[in-house]
Amino acid sequence: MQLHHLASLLHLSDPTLPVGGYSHSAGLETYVQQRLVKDVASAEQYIRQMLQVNIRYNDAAFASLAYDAATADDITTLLLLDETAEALKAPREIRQASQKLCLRLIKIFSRQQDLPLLTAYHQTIRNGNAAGHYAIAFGAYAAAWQIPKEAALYAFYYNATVGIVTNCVKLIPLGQLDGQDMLFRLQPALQQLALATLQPDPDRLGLCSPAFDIRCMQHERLYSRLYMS
Amino acid sequence: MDTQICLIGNSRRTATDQMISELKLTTALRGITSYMADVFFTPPFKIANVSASRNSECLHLILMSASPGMLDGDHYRMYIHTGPGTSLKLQTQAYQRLYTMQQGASQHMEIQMDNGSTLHFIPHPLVPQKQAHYTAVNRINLTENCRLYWGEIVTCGRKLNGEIFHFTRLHIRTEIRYRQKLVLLDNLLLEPAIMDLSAVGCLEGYTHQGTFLLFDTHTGTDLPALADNIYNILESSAGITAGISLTAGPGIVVRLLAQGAELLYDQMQQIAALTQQHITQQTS
Repeated sequence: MQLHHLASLLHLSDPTLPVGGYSHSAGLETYVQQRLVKDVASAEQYIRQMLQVNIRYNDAAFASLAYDAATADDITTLLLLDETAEALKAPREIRQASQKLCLRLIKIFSRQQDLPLLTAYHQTIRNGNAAGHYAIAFGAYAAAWQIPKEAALYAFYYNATVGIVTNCVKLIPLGQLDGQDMLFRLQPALQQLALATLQPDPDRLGLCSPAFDIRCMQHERLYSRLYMS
Repeated sequence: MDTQICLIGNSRRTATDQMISELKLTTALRGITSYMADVFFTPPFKIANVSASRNSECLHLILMSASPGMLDGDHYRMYIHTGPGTSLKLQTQAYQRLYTMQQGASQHMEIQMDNGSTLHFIPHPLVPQKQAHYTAVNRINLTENCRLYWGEIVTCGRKLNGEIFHFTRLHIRTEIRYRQKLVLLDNLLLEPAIMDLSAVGCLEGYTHQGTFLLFDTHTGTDLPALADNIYNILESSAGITAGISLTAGPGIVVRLLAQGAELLYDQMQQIAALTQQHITQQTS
């Protein structure tokens, strides 16, 4: 990988990028309040499941397909992916989180460069004809900057994992080192997932994880909340 | 019992062991009464009209089947067209059993809802028995002033016989479009051999899963208020873990987990009935 790829990829997937990811728990807050996730073992189980049954078939698959659409400069497919992602995200908070992250991601990078496909996507979102989803913008940027796809997908999973680990450390709470140990242990899984997501199976795009959905929906009505989702 | 089922099955097989069964149904309006303007079906389907009277506004049909369930190679194709201003409540007769299969069975349902029509379809739970292999696709097109009550319940198999997730594969895809745009996509795939269904995020130890959808494209319907009402029903029901949210389109989604089919079926019927009442209150 050439250095400029690495520079773009690190910037795109930086967990501290000010897109607001830190304010979303994607249902984890419900799990912690209900004591379903309460220690290192249950947290790691939660993270592995979230990655393998949810993110793999949903956001990471969309990032992968958006990467391909952007490589082919195909706005029609990109918008179709956007419509599909919007229809799949049944829990309202999850849908809105993804939309907010998308707009902020575009806001950060559209100031630097005019990338025609991303500009068109942004314009369509502003016109109200697309919802705008983070994974799709992520995939499109990675393609526009010619970041190798596998690396981009690894970074996508890594970014998601850091977010969940950080939330686990804060919410449960766990020790900082517990979180870092988990991240280290998860490396092989992330690598496998990145490979497995290179060509997502259309049949499995957007597979539903009923309980994850339910906990996200229950989050809307939690008595006290620290997170927006 | 099982031998008999096989005999019935074999007797109606074609050479290729495929059996395509069709149902086509169109409703129309006469005055304020909805009626079956067009109906066509092939075995094992049958339709029974159980409307309260000839003049009742809502057409109430029971979809019956001469078969005890779906057998290997069964493919159901259903087309339902609710005409402008019509109201249809389509009910099933019994639990839908999916028997042991090699190649699999499928159901394809296309629903076109015209302006001002209402459809209520909450079928009995699906019971995928040992080695069942089933794919279902539901495509629903909504236009203006439509109201859709939709339910789906999936069980683990014949639980009381100890048959818990012994089926091969169950894949149900539901697509709802409004003004030609996809507004809800639900893609449920259960493959017990390769998935840990009891794990966190999946079914978390529950054996039964249900999804209830309410879509309403009338401009005056207060969906958030309806969602609050449904939430109150869910909160007071024991033995069910559920979540409710507003979908991307004009709809409400409820996901439910429980240990029994009857509980989910009753709960869903209750949600639909109370929602119907609340909508009537909102619009009157």
